[in-house]
Amino acid sequence: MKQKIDYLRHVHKPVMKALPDNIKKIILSISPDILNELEEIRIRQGRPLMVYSHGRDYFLCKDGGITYNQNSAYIVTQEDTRRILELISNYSIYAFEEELRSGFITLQGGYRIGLAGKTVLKGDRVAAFQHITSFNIRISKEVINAANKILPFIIKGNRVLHTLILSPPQMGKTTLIRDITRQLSNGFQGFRGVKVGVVDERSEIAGCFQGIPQNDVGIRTDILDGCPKAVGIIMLIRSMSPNVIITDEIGKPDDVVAVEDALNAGISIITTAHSHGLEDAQKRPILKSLLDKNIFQRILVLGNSLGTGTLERVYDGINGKLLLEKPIR
Amino acid sequence: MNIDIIFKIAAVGILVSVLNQVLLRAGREEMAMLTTLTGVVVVLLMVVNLINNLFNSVKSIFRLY
Amino acid sequence: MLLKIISNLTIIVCCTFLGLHMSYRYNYRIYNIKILQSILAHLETEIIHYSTFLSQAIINSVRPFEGEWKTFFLKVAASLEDNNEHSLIDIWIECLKGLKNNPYIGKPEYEIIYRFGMQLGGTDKKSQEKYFKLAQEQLKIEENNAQQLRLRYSKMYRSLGLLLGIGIAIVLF
Repeated sequence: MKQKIDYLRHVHKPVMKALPDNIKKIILSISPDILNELEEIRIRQGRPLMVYSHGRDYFLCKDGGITYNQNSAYIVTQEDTRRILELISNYSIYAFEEELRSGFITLQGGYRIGLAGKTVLKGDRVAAFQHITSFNIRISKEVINAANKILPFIIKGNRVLHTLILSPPQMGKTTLIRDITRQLSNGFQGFRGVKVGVVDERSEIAGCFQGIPQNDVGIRTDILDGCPKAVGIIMLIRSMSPNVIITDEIGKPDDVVAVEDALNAGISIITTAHSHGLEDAQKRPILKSLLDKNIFQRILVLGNSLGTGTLERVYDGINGKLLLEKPIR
Repeated sequence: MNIDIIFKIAAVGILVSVLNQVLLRAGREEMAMLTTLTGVVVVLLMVVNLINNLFNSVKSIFRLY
Repeated sequence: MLLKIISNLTIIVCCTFLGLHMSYRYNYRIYNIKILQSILAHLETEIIHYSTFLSQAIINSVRPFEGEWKTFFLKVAASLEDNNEHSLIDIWIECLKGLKNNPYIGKPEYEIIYRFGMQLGGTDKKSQEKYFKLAQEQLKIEENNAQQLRLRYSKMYRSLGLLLGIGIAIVLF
């Protein structure tokens, strides 16, 4: 049991470093069973401290015990939120100006902390946070080899096919694309690694901390961290001569234009979009325009019929043929 | 009578005047005033015995007791 | 007689050194203010232009300097790296305590830095820049004040020490 706690202490050290002593103590004294499956730590000022694990939430008592009663839970104080902000920013909020504006901070190790609170607007964009009162610390998991089942569908000989991954939120889309990046970049049995460019607008794929990827994204991977997709794709094409460009969550008209540019430059594109399936995607104007152009050679749909990260369907995007009919995981 | 005391008083006088100048130059008039006073007091302490002697002598010469 | 002369000479020498020391304080205070200004300028560059994390920014910016403030800043940086259970403000106040009665640091610059620490790191770049500017301006004023004080008193203390020594010697002779 002690070993397991030490494991957490070492593996999630950046997360533990970001918590003030009192909350750290509470988290570390949770039973190992919950601790090992920890998905999120939710800290909201004036409300109970919560963790997500095993797909549900638990209130935490002062002594680290689990409670189902809101009244006996530890209530997060203003001092706590102030301290957390100080600790996650390394006492240097000025260094995270851009990140704060986009609502999250990436810690060393690729952990992401989502933020919410009172915002200050400038024009129609968020200029800064006035008070930050909610933190969502996500314990991201790198699932190495998550993409093994998928890779055969997106590779033809030594070429990577243009691929669109459709998935509802929380279905392991980012985990999948991260592992695809790693495998394409490192190469694997029967495939030599290629140059991969990642446009990581929300620092989710590589989890960069000061420009250095904290997740294993492969040896031939260049990352544009925090760069808008449309701009980033064009930058990569011009300067880094990638064979494959990988981005997360396209959805803006600009993105579509940039994707077309990449196709014209002979670069393979792998990208994702929020959607529950092909029919659902056809209802969204931007996705529809993209699909109608028959750009993507492979369309993968994720779901959870066999658990998170199930590959439900694979379409050939050019002729619409179904390549995989039964879900696999 | 000791002639030394006269030199001593003279030295104190010179010292106090120099101190006075230095302090005045530095713009500390009140300190200068204080040093002057201190000088006067110090000299008085030195000569108080002699003055006492003087008065005693005067009294004994004119048989005033 | 010889003993008397020697002991009187000792008194005079001691008082002279005391005076020199007092006058040296004024010079050293100005030196410290200048160093402090340079450190803050470096720190500002690190923070505004390079977005370095505070502890590293401090270490980088005090590297070329000497003196009391360097010790102070290094102490702050070390406490920050330790990541112990203190906020920056607590660390700042704790480390400043060591400088409170330092003879080479005037009360005004102590207070400027005290207030400056309350805002350091906690806001975005634009306001950080403002705080830096404010501290620099106040330090500039203090430097001028210290300069004037030095002109007036540094010479005075130097001669005062010697004269006081002679005075004591004469009275005791």
